[in-house]
This record gives sequence, C-alpha cells and structure tokens, in this order.
Amino acid sequence: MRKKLFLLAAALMSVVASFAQPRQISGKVADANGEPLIGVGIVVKGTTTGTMTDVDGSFVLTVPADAVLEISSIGYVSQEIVVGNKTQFDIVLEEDNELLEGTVVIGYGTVKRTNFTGSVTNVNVGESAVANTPKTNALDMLRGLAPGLVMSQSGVAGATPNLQVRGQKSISASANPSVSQPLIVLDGVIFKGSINDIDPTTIESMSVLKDATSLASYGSQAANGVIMITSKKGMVGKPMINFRGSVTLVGQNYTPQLRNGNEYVELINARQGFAPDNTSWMSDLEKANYAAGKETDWIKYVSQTGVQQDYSLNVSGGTEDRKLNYLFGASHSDNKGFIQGNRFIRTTITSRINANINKYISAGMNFNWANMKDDGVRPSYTRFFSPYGEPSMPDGGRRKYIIGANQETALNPLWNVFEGIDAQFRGNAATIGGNVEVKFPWVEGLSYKITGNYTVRNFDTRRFTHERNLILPTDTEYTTETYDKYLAQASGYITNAKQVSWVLDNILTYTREFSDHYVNATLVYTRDYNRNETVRSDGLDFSGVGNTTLGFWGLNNANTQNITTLDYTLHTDVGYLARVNYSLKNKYHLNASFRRDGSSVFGTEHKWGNFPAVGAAYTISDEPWFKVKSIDYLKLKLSWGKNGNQSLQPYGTLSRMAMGKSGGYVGYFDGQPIFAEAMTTLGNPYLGWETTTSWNGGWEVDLLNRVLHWETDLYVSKTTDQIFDRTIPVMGSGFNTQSATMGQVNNWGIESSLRANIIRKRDFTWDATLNFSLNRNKLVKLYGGEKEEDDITNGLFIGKSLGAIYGYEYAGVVQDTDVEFMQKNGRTPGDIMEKDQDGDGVITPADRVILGYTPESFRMNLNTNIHWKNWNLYLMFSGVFSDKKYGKALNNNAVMSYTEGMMYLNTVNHPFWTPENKDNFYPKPWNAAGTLNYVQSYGFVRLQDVNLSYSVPEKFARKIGLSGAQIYVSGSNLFFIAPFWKYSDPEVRNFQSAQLRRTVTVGLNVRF
Amino acid sequence: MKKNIIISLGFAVALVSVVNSCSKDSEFLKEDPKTIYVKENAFDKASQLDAALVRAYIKFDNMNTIAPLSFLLSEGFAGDVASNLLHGDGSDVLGGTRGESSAATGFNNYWALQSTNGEVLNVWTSLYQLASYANLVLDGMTLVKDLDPAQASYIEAQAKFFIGWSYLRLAECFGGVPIQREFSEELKFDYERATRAETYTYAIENLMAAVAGLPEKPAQNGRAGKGIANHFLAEAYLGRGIETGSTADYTAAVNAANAVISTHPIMTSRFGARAQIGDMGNSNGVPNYRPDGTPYFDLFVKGNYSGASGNTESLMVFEQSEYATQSIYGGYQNAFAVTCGPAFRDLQWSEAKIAEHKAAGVDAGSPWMGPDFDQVNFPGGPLGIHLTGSWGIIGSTDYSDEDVWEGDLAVDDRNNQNVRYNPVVMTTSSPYYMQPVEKDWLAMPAALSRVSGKYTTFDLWGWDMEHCPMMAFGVYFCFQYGRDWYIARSAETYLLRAEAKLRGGDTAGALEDINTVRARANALPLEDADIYTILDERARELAWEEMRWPTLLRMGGNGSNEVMKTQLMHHSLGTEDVPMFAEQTFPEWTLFPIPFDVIALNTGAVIEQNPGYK
Repeated sequence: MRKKLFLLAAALMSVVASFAQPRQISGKVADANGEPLIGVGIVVKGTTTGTMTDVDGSFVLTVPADAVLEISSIGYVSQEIVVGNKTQFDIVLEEDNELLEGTVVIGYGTVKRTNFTGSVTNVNVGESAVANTPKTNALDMLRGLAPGLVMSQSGVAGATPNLQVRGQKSISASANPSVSQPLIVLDGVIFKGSINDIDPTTIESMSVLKDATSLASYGSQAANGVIMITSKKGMVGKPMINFRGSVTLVGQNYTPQLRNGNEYVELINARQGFAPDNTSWMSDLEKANYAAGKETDWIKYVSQTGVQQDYSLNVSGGTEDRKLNYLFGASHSDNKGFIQGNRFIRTTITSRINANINKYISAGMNFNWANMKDDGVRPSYTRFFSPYGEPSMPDGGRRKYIIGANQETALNPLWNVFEGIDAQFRGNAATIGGNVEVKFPWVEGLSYKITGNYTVRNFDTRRFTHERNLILPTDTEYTTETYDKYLAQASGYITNAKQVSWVLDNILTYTREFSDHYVNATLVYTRDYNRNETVRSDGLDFSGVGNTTLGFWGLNNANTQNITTLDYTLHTDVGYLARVNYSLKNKYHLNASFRRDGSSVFGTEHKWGNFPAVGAAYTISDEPWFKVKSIDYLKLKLSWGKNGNQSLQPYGTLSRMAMGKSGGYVGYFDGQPIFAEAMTTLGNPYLGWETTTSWNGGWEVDLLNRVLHWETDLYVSKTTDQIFDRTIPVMGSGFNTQSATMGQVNNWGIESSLRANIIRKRDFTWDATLNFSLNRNKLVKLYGGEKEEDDITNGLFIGKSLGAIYGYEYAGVVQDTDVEFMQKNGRTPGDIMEKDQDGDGVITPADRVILGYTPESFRMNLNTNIHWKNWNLYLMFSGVFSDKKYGKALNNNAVMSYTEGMMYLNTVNHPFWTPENKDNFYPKPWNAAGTLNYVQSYGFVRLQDVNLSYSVPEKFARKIGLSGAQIYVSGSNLFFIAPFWKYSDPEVRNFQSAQLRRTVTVGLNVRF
Repeated sequence: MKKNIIISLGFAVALVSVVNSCSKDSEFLKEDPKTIYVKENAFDKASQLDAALVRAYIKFDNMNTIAPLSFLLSEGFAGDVASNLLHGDGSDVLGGTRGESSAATGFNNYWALQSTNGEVLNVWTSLYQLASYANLVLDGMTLVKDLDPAQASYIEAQAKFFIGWSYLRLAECFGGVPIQREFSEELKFDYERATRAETYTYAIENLMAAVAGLPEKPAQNGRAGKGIANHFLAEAYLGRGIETGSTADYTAAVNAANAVISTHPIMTSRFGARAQIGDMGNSNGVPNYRPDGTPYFDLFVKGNYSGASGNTESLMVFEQSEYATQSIYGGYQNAFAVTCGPAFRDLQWSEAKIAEHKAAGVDAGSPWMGPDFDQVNFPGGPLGIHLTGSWGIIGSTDYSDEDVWEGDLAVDDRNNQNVRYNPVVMTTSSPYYMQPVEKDWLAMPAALSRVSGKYTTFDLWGWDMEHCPMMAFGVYFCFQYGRDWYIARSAETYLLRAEAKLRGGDTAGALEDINTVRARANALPLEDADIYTILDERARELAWEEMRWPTLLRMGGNGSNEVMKTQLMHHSLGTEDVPMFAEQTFPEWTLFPIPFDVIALNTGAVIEQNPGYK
C-alpha cells in the first residue's frame, strides 16, 4: 500500500500534461431565484485566465479543452465545473450561508462554519497582499490582522516574536513570555518545531482560535490560544510552477538623537562641576579627536543597510479524478539585518502528497526540512560612548578600547563582531508526517484517522575566542607577540542540542446529517513526546599549541577540556477527547467536549487534569419570523470552557542537587579540595495544572446586502492555580523562592472586526477591515492565606492590572526655594523631587503609588485593499492606544542625563539642571538624589505594511510563456506617530536597544 | 474491489496497532531525570554527607571574611552579602562613605535604619541558609545506610556547630527568632518567634553537642574542633547571661572559655615562616626572616595560620587555595589583599575650597578627580587602586584607626600591624597637591575615612606576583593566594572570658585577661576595666576580624542597650562627624529589625517587630 502510494507519486511527477486546443465558451450566471449575478468571477482553475460576468450575468471566455472553471462571488458558494465538450453554460450559484468559507478548521477536524459556536479569526495569507510583504517568519503574517492577538516586534533578523492571545493570564508571563505563547498546530497536528522552521510562502491560511470551546480540543496546552496553520496543497489541474522572489532593503526605523561632541563635553563637565570647556578628563585619544573635531557616531558605526532576499519555488497539482494532489517546494531566505554582524539565512524544503486510495481509504504524507544559519556575533547595542572615542588604529585596523587605557574600558562595539571571535549558530529541523484515514464501509459517516508527525531538530552552537580578541587596553601594538600573551585565555565551545519529538493522534469521527439534524462526533486519543538533549564541550588555554588556527575545531588541543553541560529532558503528554457538534435545522447549534490530559511534568499525584467545554450558537436570521431587511445574516453565540497551561518545565517538581566539580562549590582542607554538594532548587511535588476558565459571547452579522460583515466577541476568563516562583520564608529550607500553584488572574475583553466591501465593481473593488481589541486583566488572588496582600517587590497588586508601574511620582526638580523638602529629605538643588502623597513632608515608601499600567488601553488595526484593473494597493495601519491609566511605560531617559551611574556615557540630547540654568523638569546631570519614575504614554499609530502590485495582463504573460506574473513594491514600518513617547520607537521603548526594521521591497511572482 | 478494501483495512488496522502498541499511560508519563541529582540519589555515602557539610563550611567561612569591594560581596570571591554588615559596617569601627548621593541610603546612618533595609535581610537570610545547609546534612544522614558510628558522630557534630553558630548570631542580632529544627521542603507561613533566651539556649544546645563530637583540635586545617565550638559556646552563655541576668551563665561562659584557653594558649613568642633567624630564603626578593617582627606580626604571616605552624592561638581558619589548585578546582582567594576604603569618588571639595581653587585659577573638581590629576602616580584617579577602586565600600572609623590608639596606647605592636593612610590630593594643579585631605576640606555631609587594612603592604613577601588575575585601570592587584583567614583566635576567647568575669563581678580577673592579651602585643597593662575597656580592646586586638555588630547588639538585654548606644553615639561615622546626622535623636532600637519581608511573608501568624521600628 505504501509502495503503491509512492509509485503513484512518482508516476505523477513524470506526467507531462497534454495541451488541447483552446476554444471559446459562454454562459450566464444567476442566483437561485433566476436573478442574473453581476461581477461573478470565472477563472480557469490553476491559471490566471478568467473574466467576470456583465450586467446580464453573461460571460465569454476562451479556455483550453481540459479546463476546470472556478466560479465564485462573495456571498455565494463557489463552484467548480469541468468544461468537457460543452460550450454553453447556465450556472446557478447558491447563497452561501456559511459566509466565505464553508468550513472552519478546529482541533482534530473541521466543522461547518454555520455550526461553529466559537470565536476564530481566519486569515488567508496565501492569496492576500500580506504575502507580498517581507515577513521573516510565519507568525509575522498575522500581525495586525487578528483581533485579540498581541505580538512583539524586534529589529533583529531571525528573532521570533512573542505572542499573547487575549491578554496576560499567567502572573509569571511578564518575566517569562514563553509560558504564555499560543500553541501552534500545523495541518492539524501540534507543531513541535520553532516557527522559524516554517517557510511562510507555503502557508495557505492561518486561524487564531480564542474561545474556550475552540481551544478545548487541545485542552491542556491551549489556554494561551491556538494558531492553526494550514499549508498550501496542490489543486486539480496540470502541474503549476510558482516562483516568488523579492529583495528588501532594511534600515532602522528610528535613530535616537544623542549628544554630539560639543554637547557631550558640556554634559561631562557639568556632571563633574568643571568649566564648560575643560577637557582634562579626556584620554589622549579623545583629546586628539576633540582638537581635530573628529566625532564618531556610534549608532552609525554599528549600523548598515541590511538586505533581505527571499526566493521560493514550488510545483503543485492534482489529478483530475481528485485521487491525488501534491506540492513540492523550496525556499531560500537571506536576511541581513541593519546591525552589522546580524544575518539570518534559512533554506526550506516542503513536500506534501495526499491520495484518495479508494472510496474508503485516503492517506497523506508531508515532509518539511529547514536549515538555519545565524552566525557571528551581534554588537552590544546598549552603551553609547564618547563621540571623541576612536574606533580605529592609526593603520586603519579596529581599535579594541576606543577611549584609551586609563578610562572606563569602553570596548569597541564591533570588536567582538569582527575581531577574533568565531561564532556559529546552525541548525536544521526535519518533520516527517503522515496520516491514514479509513471510512468504515458499514457505518455511513464513521471514519477513523491516524496522524503522526516526527520531528528532529539539531542545533549546533560553536564559538571560539582567539587570543587576538583578548588584548588589553595597555597593549598599544597589535602584533603576534602581543597576541601570544593571551593564548592561555583563548577558549571555545561546541554545543550540540538535539530535540526529538513526535505526536500521534487517533481520531474517530462520526458525521451524519439526518433531515434536520446534523451530528459530528469525535473521539481522540493522543500522545506526544518531546525530548531535548544538550552537550556542551569547552576548551580553554591553547598555550600548549602555539596558535588557534583551528578555532573551535581544535578544542581537543586545549590544555583544559571540559564537558560543561550534559542535559536531558523528556516531556510527555497523553490526552483523551470526546466532542460532539449538533445542529438542528441549521439554526440551533450545540458543541460540547471533554478532554482529559496527563502530563509528565507534574507531581505524581497531580498529573491529570480535566477540561470540559460547552458552546451554543443560534442563527437567528434563519428564523421565518426574522425579517429585518438590512440584516442578511445574524448568528448569536455563547460558550464556556476550561483549558490548561503547562507552564512547568520537566523535573520542575523535584529538588535538585549540585554535585562535584560542576556544582561550583569547593572548600579546601589541608590543601586538598573537597567539592561541596548543595541543593540548588527547592522542588514542590504538589504542582499541578494551571487552568483558565472562560466565557465567550458574540455575534456575526452581515448587513446591507453583505456589504458589511461585523463580528464581535466579548469574553471573560479566570486563570487559576498558576505556577510561579513565590517568595517563601528562608527559614525552612534556606531557599527564598519555591515554585507553587496559586493565584488567580481575571481577564475580560472585547474584540470586534468590521469588514466593508465598499466597492464591488468589475474592474474596481475596495474593501477595508477594521479590527478592534481591548483587554483588561486583574490580579484577584496571589498567595492565598487569610488576607491577600500586594507583592510590592514584584509589582503585583491585588485587584489591579498586571504590569503595574509602581513607585514615586515625579514632581520635578528640587530648587533653592524648596527648603523644607531639602531639609527633611536630605536633598540639594537639582535633585529629583518625588510627590509627597501622604503630605508628611518626608518621602517614605508610603508615598509610592501606582503610576500606570504597561498593558495598552486598546488597539485598532485598519487594513484596506484597493483593486483596480491589474493594480492592487494594500495598506495596513496598526494603532496601539494609551489612556490615563493604560499604555504607560517608564522612560527615565527622557528626563535623566545619565544612565547606569557611568560618568562618561553619552545620553539622548535634552537639557539638564545647572546652578545657572535651573530647569524644573530635567534634574542635574550627575548623582541627582531621589528616585526617578518618569512615565510616558507609548500609544502610537504606524503604517505597518503597504504593498502596491501590478499583475501583468494575461496576454503579455502568455507571450513570454507564463501563465501569470505579478510585480510589486512593498514597504513596512514607513512611519509612526507616537505623540507622547520620546527618544525611541514606542514598541522598543529603550533608546539603547536596536529599533525596528524599516523595509522597502521589490518583488516578482511568476506562475508557469 | 472488495478485496482491495479488505486488504487496505487490514493494513490500516495493522498500522494502528503497531503505532499504538506503546506503554501504559502511567508508564509513559513517568519522569526519569537522567542527568539530574535530586535529594534521594545524592546521599548514598558518608563522603556525600561530608560534601554537603562543605557547603556549610563555605557559607560560614565566607560570612566570616570582609569584602572590601562591592563585587567581592559574593561567595565566588570569599565574601558573603552579609559579611560587611556583620563585621560592623555603620558601627563604631567601620563605615561606608557618605557622599551626598548615598546620604539617605547608606547603612551607616543607623538612625534611619528601617525594617526594609536589604543589608539586614541579607544577614537574616545568610544565617538561616547556613543553618539549613547543616540541617540538610542531618536530613541526609537518615538516607545513608550503614554509616560508621564514629563518622556519624563527627558529621553530626560539625553540622550542629554550624546550627549553633547561626542561632547564636541570630539571637545576638535579632533577639528571639523562629527556631527551625530540621530541613523542611514544606511551604510554611506561620513561623513564630522564640524568646531571645530560648534562641540562645538552642544555640547552646547545638554548640554543646558540637563540643561533644568534635576532636580536640581541628582534624584538618579549615575544619572545626572543640576549641572553636567552646569559644562560641562561651559567647552564647555570655549572651544568654546578659539577656536573663543569670550569673550561672557567666560561670558557664568562663568554663567554656577555660576549656579553649587550656588547649589554645595565645602566641606570646615569635613563630613560623618569618621568625627564623638565619633563614636565608626569600619570597619575591624579600628575605624570609623579618627582624622587626613580633608575635602579633607572625600571626598574620602566610602559612602561619594553621596549627601545623605551631600556632596554638588559631581556633579555626578559612583555608584559602594556592593558585595551582585554585586554577584547576576553583575556590576562593583571600580578597582582603587590598586595603579598604569607602567610595572616595563621591566626595567633593567644600564650597570654601572650591572658591579657593577658583581664586587660584584652577578648576576644583574633587581632590581625586580634578583637572590634571596625577595620572602617573595615581593611575585611575578615584577609580584606581590607591583609593581602593571605584567599588570601595567600607573603611575604618576615626575610633578604630585613631582614637583607640591614642596616648599610651600607641605603644602597641598591633598599631603597627594595621596599615592606614590618608588619601592625598591627586590633582597636580591644586595648591594642595599631594597633601593628605582633611575632613573640613570636603563638602558636607561627607565623612572621610582613611584607607586601611590589617596586613596589606608591608612588603611583597608571600605575594603571588605571577598570578595577579585582575587588572583594573592599568594596575594589577593580586589576591593573596594561600593566605588563610581566622574564624577566631583564642585572644578573642580571653576577651570573652574577661567580659564574663567582669559581668560576673570578677573585675580583677577580667583585667588580668585583658592584660594578658595586651602583654603579648607589648602594650602597657591597664589598671582598671569596664565594658568599654573590653570593647576598645576588641577594636584593637581584633581590628578587621571581629563581627562587631553582633558584639554591640549582644551588649544589651531586655530591650535596653546603653553600651551600644554610647558606642554608636560617640564613635560611629553616622553621628560623630556630620552635623546633619549629629542633630538626630538616638533611635530607640536595641536590635536589628526583623526584616520586613520576613514579617510580610508570614501570613499565617504574626512575627512581632522589634521595638523601635515602624
């Protein structure tokens, strides 16, 4: 049987499709009432050949003989018609009560959209303009398109975003975002790799599951939402070759304005109380540059224009009898970031074959392979040096210590990038999977499916520091003799990390429609397995070898060799699911499920958890009495359920001991070392499931002849039994923290999405979608006990939102006239003044208040698509909004003229207090006493994506042997408006880090 | 067709049964941490119990050393977060800088001490951690099978020594504290305070058990023996006596001290590596024989700390590694190789001096960081080694480096042993260039202390010049590989016995003990003794060694502590020198506060705060 399948695939590969003579066909399209339909698209499947119906609903089209017509119109069920020998067609389109797509992908199956009771956002990325924007990973394509999904952005090539669905539920999530990541399901199977393993161009659509009933199928792993990725499949028709290529220029979207040379000198002198033009504190290097007026812009020094190149090629098709479809693809992405040394390269291979072997049996196979390379060292972006520092040696080589020998040892930010460190991070990930589905011939509607995926990921980190990298400020000459002094400190390591995972699902489904009744029942038994192994070998001291030419490949020549890490973790899960969907008359829909999950990570007595869910929906517009003319469709829905979160790492319930030399503690007695053993983590065998219980209510409505589609969901959720490190009294065990199950966080929110088909003309369509999401959370319980108390140390306040910014309110600068304040608080003019909330004149901890909350007030995204003839323009604006309480962040750099207590660091350019210029907002530039908590609103609107594409007219395309071609330009992050935020991008919120990517892309999509 | 279906179905069933023929769920979900040691597999052998004891030794030893620089305040560098406060930061003998910026936060402003003070929490935490490391050893003893009784008794005695010492310090610093009698992994939030007397009693019980099980002298250099256990037992009796007024405790303290002194007499004649006339060897070119050495000098010579050198005074040492072993196995090096001083960079010229400099046409800056500071002689300026680096955090007070040595008291070997120098003006253009900075030259409320230390830079003998692992600002500074650190010397036992005698009414006996210690240092005998005499003598004999705060806090009982109050009022940097602080009324507290976090976390029961704190 397997053999047969492979033979079929092989045969298919060798098929050369035969071309028949093109001929003309014509026809009419009407609705069920016989009314002609205007603007219906008629396309020859697998090509760009097509037309639209005119005002009479008529069309004329030239097609090849073996053509399949795809007839589609918004609001109607699409049809496919085999042309055959006919030339005249009368086509009747049925109204689509199931909206755009007929089915919704849910856990372990699909469900008719009408019967769906939950909340899901589906994004067809494959066909939308989003695919034409330079996304570096698959999740990035969802940015701004799914209400309720919050995603971080980074300027670093190869970085993956942190996601949050429907707000922060775990108290520990701000410290450890990984515990709140949604579950990713690829083609129906829990995805065990990294999102970077997936080639974004192979994705057809992505769905974000948000409410409890939709999530319930994944029970224990679903509390933070599920993102279902459906990849492209071959379609009926001859083999089609798709090529996509694009080149992107990458820059930094914001450049912090630092003080220039003279301003810097003014600042440093002011910090030390010197005369404004004093230079005595400068190193000789700085003095020389100061005299020569030679400044270095350190941001510019580490920056470059990045180039991102993306290429992908795939072949897909399917047999006419629909017995087989296939897709084979490859992609290559080379992403050079805007910071020197940052380059991420990924190559992927994808293949999928699905076969309907006979009436009862179908099978599929998929294979994904990705190879990643992220070599080199990224410069430290966190410090800003004297503009008069010197990055080069007289001979033009890089200087290691840019200030000189006797000053704070400022390391050239590009030193480690280019001088004597070899760093490699390379990995590959392969997933092979398959499924077999058997329809039982004896019971109609009963089928059994087994799906399995096996993933192996290997990641190697290799790093070597050559002696050349280690020279000291006192070494004035960079010669071999100098370098040789540091051979004993040359060191390197190789880390091999291996991850092996598999998922195995057994799914028994029964789907049947009896007159008014629709039943879909599913039983699932699933297991998954995730094993990680890490070995790290270190080598130090190459003085015995004489050189380090071999780099990390010569670690075995080191004088000291160690295995410093040997790690093994295994995480296994078992799940049982029973679920039933029932619909009556296509109006009343019910969905109930129960999942029982076991996970290895929990304590022996707490391994199992139960996760029930119930949902109902009511298609009220189908009632005969419902006669609101402007409403075409209205469904109301309500659901409730529980989901779990495995926020615990393997062996997290055990008390760990450090032993032997690697334990790190050694004592000496009579000259002999004795290695100590010590407990390093205090376990807790009582740790169990974190559970989120939630309610979701909402509606879907089509208005004004389906010009408007409006979906709204309201939800409340309660997350209990959270696992996090709590501070414990030290007396019992000597530990200050222990993982414990406790706490409760409530979330509520509104998500709304309004889509308008503003213009629907033959040559001109314009649609726009506005997404709105608002989330609020509240910490209800923390450590339990008789009376809940705030945990001020960790910024946790009962009854308040997570992400509270707590501290002294900034009240400006202490002036000469504030005599009483100075006396009572030991301050001098120019210091920071905090607001004395309790009015006792003294600033004490009692004066601390909540200054705001980090979570945003709400966010809105607007995306719009304008299609005119062969042109398409796509715009996506994303907006995050602050109000009086929410959307706040500390931005002390906007006030303070020094950071980290480092006297010679440059800062952003703003004034400061001096005895001569007594500013009331900016304190003095050094040692201003008091605690500064300066809070700003970070709300912003940015043009996230813009894409303009032109599809080459078919006749031109044909002439050059193509069946379709599209060229485009795209831009991302072109501008933002953040009215209250200063000195950095409002999402980065730190001027010392890399800001975000601003990109401009030109690209080409071609189909053969 | 039908046949095909059946074959296919058969295949499908076979496939399913193969892939699903795994283990039971419970087997599948069982955890097997292959690469991790947990408590259950970490205690198989007596050597592992000893390894767990070594963890306690490391904690104990590190708490007993001083960390002159802030980055040394960790176990990685032979220091502990609690060690500087225990040794007296902010007391009469030691203090940090008080520049403008640190005025409100430095510990030395003890009048502003609050329960939220992190340093106090560090002391609490470190002491309980030490006790729990020892308790884990006792717990582990139940897991090791067939433990040899003699081995068991020695292991248990060492563990109890650490428990006893922890509770002694807890009782001294905090008064009555919750007594945790075993290692516990359970979450517990209803701790209750024992009384101070009960806490002392618990310390006494454990120290007595330690005395019973420990060898007469330490079994190895670095281990505890009967001597050190009796020494702290004496201190614990003394503490309980002060708290309860029981003269029986003073007698018991004298007896415990007698037991120490009988086996560990102080060194009254020259000994060890630098005392041999005619020794022609040298170290770093410096001859081994030091003709002007004294017995007191010999105590602090590398190699002389252990009993093996003939040193009977040494009760227990923190043994440091030599470079050769340290570089292979890790470990600690005596960080006290540089002198101590506060953060001089925070100190600025007074307004008068700024005016004076301006008049002379010079930018004032600070004495150490003016324009044109002398980079040649003082590389690094205030960040350089001459001012103990930018991380300098602690220095001696006038009391400990001047006042206690005044007059007759200057004739004292110990005065020579302590090194100290005044920081000089390093700015070449200043009219005061190279002159020692005087206090009234500086902006108030800045207090100035000198750069001082116990044995640092007499000569280069004993330094490991080849392996100076760190270089700061162009200057190497070396750790003193192989130079040990005293946990206690019997000279301190004499002073404890003197105190016990004095409190028990035997002033003559007390005077005799004090003068025994003084005589060894060639100091003139005293004619009268009171408690302040003893405190002064401790400051002289045990400079940079003694845990001063526990001593001062031990001086009072039952909610009053006039002795500590007097010492602090007259000698601490926090009141003596700075008008701004001198105005303050003396706080009411007599003990450290119970750390705020400890009270706040204890949700199941109330832990009362010590009087005098909000």
